[in-house]
Amino acid sequence: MAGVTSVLARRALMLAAAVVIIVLLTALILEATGYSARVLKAIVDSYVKAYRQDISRTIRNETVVNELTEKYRIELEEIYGLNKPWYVRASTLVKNTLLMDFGITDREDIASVVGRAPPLKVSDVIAIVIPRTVIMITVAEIICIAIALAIAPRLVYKIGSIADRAVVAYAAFTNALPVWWLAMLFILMFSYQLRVFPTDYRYIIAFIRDLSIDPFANFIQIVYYAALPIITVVVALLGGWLYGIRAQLIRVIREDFVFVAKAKGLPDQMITKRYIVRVAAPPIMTSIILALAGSIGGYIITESVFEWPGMGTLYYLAISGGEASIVMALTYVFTLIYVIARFILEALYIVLDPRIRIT
Amino acid sequence: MSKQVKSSRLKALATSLKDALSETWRQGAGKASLILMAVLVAVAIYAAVAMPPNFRDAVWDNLEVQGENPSLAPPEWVKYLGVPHAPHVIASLDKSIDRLDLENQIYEFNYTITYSLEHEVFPQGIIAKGYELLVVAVGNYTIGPRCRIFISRPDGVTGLYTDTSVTLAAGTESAWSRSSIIVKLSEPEAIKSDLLYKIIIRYANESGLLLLKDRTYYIKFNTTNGTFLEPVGNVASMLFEDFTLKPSKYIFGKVSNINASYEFMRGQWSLQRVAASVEPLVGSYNITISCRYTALPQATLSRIQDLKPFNSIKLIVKGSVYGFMGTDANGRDLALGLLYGFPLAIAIGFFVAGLTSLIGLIAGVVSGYYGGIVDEIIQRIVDVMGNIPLLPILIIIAMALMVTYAEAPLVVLMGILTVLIVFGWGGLAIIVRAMTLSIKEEPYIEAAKALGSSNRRIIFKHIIPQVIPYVVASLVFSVPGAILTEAGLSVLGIRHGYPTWGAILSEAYRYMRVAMEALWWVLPPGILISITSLTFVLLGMALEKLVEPRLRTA
Repeated sequence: MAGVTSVLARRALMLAAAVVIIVLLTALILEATGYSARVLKAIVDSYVKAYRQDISRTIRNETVVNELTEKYRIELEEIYGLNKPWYVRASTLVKNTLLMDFGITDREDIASVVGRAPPLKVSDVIAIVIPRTVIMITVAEIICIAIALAIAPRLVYKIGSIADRAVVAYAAFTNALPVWWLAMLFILMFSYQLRVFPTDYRYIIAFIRDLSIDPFANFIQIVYYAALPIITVVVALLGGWLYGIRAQLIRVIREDFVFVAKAKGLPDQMITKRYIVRVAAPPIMTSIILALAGSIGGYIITESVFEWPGMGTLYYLAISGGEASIVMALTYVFTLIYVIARFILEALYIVLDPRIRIT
Repeated sequence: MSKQVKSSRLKALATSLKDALSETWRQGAGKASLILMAVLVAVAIYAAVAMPPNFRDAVWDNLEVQGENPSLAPPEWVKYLGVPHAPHVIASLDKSIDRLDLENQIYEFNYTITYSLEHEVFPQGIIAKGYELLVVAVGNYTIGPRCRIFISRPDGVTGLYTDTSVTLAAGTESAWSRSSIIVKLSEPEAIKSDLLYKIIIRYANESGLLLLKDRTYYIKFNTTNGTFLEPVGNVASMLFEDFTLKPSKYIFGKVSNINASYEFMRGQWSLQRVAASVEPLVGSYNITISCRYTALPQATLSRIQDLKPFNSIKLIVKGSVYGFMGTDANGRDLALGLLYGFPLAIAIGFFVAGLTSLIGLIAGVVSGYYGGIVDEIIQRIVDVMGNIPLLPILIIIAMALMVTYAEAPLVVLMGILTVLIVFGWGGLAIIVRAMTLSIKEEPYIEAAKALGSSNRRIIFKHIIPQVIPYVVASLVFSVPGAILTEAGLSVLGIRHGYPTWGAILSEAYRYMRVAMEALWWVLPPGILISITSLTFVLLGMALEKLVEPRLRTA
């Protein structure tokens, strides 16, 4: 058992190091390229311009106006950290992120995605937005996985049949289809032309917020608003899941012990259950858990196309608005969730499968 | 290495390539993918050869070119589906009726075309361009013709649509010359167009009164000269304003009513908006371009009398349909953009997939074969990369590039592709490493070592040839990834400036509310992206069966 602990500890250390490196890298990309500074400078400039116009109404003396404006600019640059060199900003960013001190945002566009008035704590922003992504992406993944798990085992004995070929063709087809284009197409068809589904998905904010006030009516609304996004993601991803699980099962069906079971005359159903699914379960479980962990990060492009106020949209707004602290926080949270999921999986493997313990 | 060895190796390579191709061809998916691939590559080569090298600036983003096309127009072939339409006509005018009146010093050319409107749909406008203008020296000036467009409508109304005179300040030495100025006759100014007066006169009811619809309010209208009488000067000027905004609506329409909306403000009624309700007028229109030189010295006149005022004149009636694939909201010809997208997509896909696979191959073989510290470093790098959320990093870098290098689209595009390559080789490296590890332990490697083979020889002679099939399959599989990612980034608003299919889609997405009816804009780029990806996915699946016989089904 001592071997297991040391192997696990080494893995934990490695994964933790990976998280730190990713946080460092993100901060470096944001600050060293000058991207975040450039965006912040534009924001400061717009504030300063507004301030100047404001005071010009009451103060006529131009030199006084100039002095006050300059003072205000320096104040703002202090607040936004623009007076410090990039590596200082980057290191503060890394330190605060790793300590989970994400700070406060006062951006209007981000607040409007959240559905509350600024200023907001970044940790609150993430906590409010995560459930929306879960409603859309994670639910869609779960539906895909359930359907794939129900269908794929039925296909393994019929490899090459029409149903099997149809699944493979469907998988190949959707693999080539961009999800976000499917989203555009579905919005065009179902929302604008047929008017079956809503065109503006931001209303979901209110229905989720008021869920506790009138659970039944709001739940119906949430289902109505989430239906098209979920259908889109399921149509796009189902093929991949079917193909992936089918491939895992096929690998097992060619093993000798399955032939033996068949030779013994066991019924197909029992063979599938005991000899195929059980053996193929670990790798399938791995991809399911990693996919669910990954789904919390949201789909940046697809969510943007739906204007779905989830993690993907938030991420995109934070990046395009140069809101470094939110970008860092989101990157950190995703990576952490993903890495923890991986670690749990590896721990399970090592504990359950003695063959893996050597590495 | 001797020549013979080299050629025998090439022969072996050719044979194995031929085998792989015929093996792929034998599978259904493989056959489909090879046919699709041949079509894609053929179109891409055609586009790369046929398109001008500066397509983006000279055609795609050229406002002049865009202005000649109707905007948001469906493809021309929708007329076969029974969609009512106004035809798009481009006429190169060369036959003119000339009039040389030496006594009055007038030299005039008239070009006429007939445009017939069969369905009740408004055309989008009229535009004429004259190239290589004939200019004549008169004193200190260089004088060109006065160019006007007259339109004669099926209901008998004939009037002046637009009017332009060309005079250049600088004189020339010779009596006449050809100028490089392109004379453009397009949107009329309200004051220079008497067509509207005439249209309104034609449709004013006999008493000379027009009924304003929103309120029971009559305006006095002088039918003899077409001016509005007091107290409604504002109605007239606002009507002319509406005319200059949407001239084609009036030119090709019959006025049924003039609507003015009033609002009660500060104790009195004030006029808010005036617009006529106009319906399309079917029938044939004669459009005449008239170019006239006046007040020229007699000597000059006789010298230029065999010369045309323009070497060529192009008259365009912008219809409601255009070309083979229609146009976008800016009037760009989508057929050209989509065609140009072929070489771009293939180049982007192969560039990223090729370099990614090469790096993955090298890193995997080195990591597996040499082991030790090199292996450890490469594996840790792959580990970190595997956990990085790629898309956000890509967006950050792409946005930084977009802001910094807005003027250099190639830098932005290459930057995006570089990030895809840098972060993309990890998965393949792991597989290649595992394969190298198992091959390394084979007895024949030991034998080769015992015979004194160098590491290089073992890697190139024994390991890489065995790994290559997997690398090729993975290369083919990863081609669509790059194309899809580039398209996805475009939709997020990251613009490098090249008209890729993704960029066309991103424009459609930006104009979503306008484009909601424009299926010809949203469908084709997505379908092309999907077909291209499908080609590589199918080919990858076929190759996968070749290199992994366990996946063979039949």
